[in-house]
Amino acid sequence: MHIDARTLPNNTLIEGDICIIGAGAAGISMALEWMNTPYKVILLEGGGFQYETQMQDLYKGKTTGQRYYPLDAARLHYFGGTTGHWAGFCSVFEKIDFEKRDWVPHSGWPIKREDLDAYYPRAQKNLDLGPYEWSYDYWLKQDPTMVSLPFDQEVLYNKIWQFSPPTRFGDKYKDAIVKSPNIHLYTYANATNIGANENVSAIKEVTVKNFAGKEHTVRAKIFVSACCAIQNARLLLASNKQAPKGLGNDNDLVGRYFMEHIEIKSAELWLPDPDPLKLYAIDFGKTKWRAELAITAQTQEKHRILNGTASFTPLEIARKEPAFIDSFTADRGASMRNWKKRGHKEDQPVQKKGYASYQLFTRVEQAPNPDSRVTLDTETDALGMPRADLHWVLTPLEKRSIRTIYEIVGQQVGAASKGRVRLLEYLWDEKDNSWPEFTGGGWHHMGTTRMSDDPKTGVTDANCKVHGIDNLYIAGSSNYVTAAAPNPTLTLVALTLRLSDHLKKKIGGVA
Amino acid sequence: MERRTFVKLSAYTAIALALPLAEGCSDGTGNVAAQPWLFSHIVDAKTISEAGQAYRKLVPAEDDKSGLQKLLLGGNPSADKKQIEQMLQSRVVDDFKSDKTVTVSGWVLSVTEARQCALYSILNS
Repeated sequence: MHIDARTLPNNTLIEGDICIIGAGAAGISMALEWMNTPYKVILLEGGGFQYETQMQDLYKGKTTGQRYYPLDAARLHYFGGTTGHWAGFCSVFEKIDFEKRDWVPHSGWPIKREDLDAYYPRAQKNLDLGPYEWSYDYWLKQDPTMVSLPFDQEVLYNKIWQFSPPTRFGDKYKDAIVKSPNIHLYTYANATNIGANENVSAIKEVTVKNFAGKEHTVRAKIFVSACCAIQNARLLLASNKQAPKGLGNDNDLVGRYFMEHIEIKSAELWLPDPDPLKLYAIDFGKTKWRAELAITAQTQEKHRILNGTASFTPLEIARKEPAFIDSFTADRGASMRNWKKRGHKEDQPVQKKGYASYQLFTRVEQAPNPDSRVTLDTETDALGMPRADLHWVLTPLEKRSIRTIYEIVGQQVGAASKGRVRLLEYLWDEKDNSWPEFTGGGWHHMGTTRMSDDPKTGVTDANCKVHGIDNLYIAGSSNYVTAAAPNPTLTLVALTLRLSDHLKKKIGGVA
Repeated sequence: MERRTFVKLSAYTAIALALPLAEGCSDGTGNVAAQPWLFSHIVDAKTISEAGQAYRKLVPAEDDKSGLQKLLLGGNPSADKKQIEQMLQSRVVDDFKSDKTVTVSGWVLSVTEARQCALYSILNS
């Protein structure tokens, strides 16, 4: 059922079994899991069902350090969350992404890749993806024309991406949620504070506010914060009435280790003869799957580099594109126009004979870095909550990894006499650790409440429970310890489904 | 760098390399040695020269025409241009397979073809 929190009498007490804060990919995925159960689920959404400037303004924040997008352009504040404008790129994390890598500081999850095996297929359904098949061999059988570049498979491999339509959670799941008798969706219910018991060992209630001047209290047995990485950290840090450093922040970890995928043009592939590279091409809205060139685990280990992939765009098209980081400006209208224009350009049909030169575009994980962090700004939003301050910091490892990836790709296409690779100028000098102006992220926010078995190194445990607080859980990519190469949505939904199963056992008295 | 395929370029290359050949290598082998085969199918003569200059700067010990010719042709007594061309092409592939690569002006090249570019840049300086 749906309740507009603006219409409730002021100071209403809302009670349920589980309170999910945030109705984006994680929050809605969790709510769907609890439909038709005997439990009363409170799903809180700060906005309504449509984009509203006033709501979006609540996501404004400061950015310092590495140049970043305006924060209010990076996430959407209404039912469905950022799935309202995501592109639908999905792939699975690899085994190595969960492991402790001695060349990647602060790496190593408290769970393994196998712990998500049962949840990825379920997550794929939520995102309207194809079969749970991620090997190139499988997909080649479906379409033998998808020919691979020649390379040593112990060095490189074709990592498969599947494309969600993209599923807009707000559109697709609104009816199911609203019609569900046990899911109580409250719109215009912005969580501004999480209140704990006296010794801060359990959460008692959440305060929600809206622009109608109403303030309500939500009580539940279990609370799940599913507000996205920046807002999860912001909410925990701002809930500092009883815990002065913020909830779950006894060890000064909340907000730290903010990660993005660095998405940046990096090199060019030059071929003696045109080639469509069909396996690696994308036609937005039509392509259901494709590959990106990826680095095998053993090659990552050998070169001590981060995980990343390369995609290919015909150079003549790529050269006309503005950098991602320049796509969003203070003028939101212009930003959206730029973005739509970009889509049209990329939508150009691939020439049958292909192209002889391609831009190689990187998506590489960012090394976990405690200095890359979200804190609270001194400025508050219209509901009185301190705004987020993102200080995005990269390290030399990311740049060395990008350079090495293309040296490896260059070596492989050279060995196959396929062509030659040219690194872009910002990668030429091995001693230069600076980043060019066009350095951007993938709008992928991760890591601000990282998982760890040890409260001294992580905010949540392996079950996404905040250390030291019995009934507070975090859903979403803020739990990520490392970012891997793929876009985060599929994995964050899988992780949320795992959390949901855990909570079902817990609330049923099993866990 | 504007792309120009070697199919179009080969005629220019032949002319360009004819001059240094006349003054440098009476047997014509220097001509072939200064012609990175696949790379010159992809880029223009200016780019080859720039890559060659960058390699000479990176490895100053090899910034010498006769030294480069020796490195490229040494141990191969053949005067047969075709044979030398094949030998160098094969060595370029072997370089890549055995990680004997170097990055010059951003290009990831085999050491052999980087030397070929270097020789080309000397012959055309």
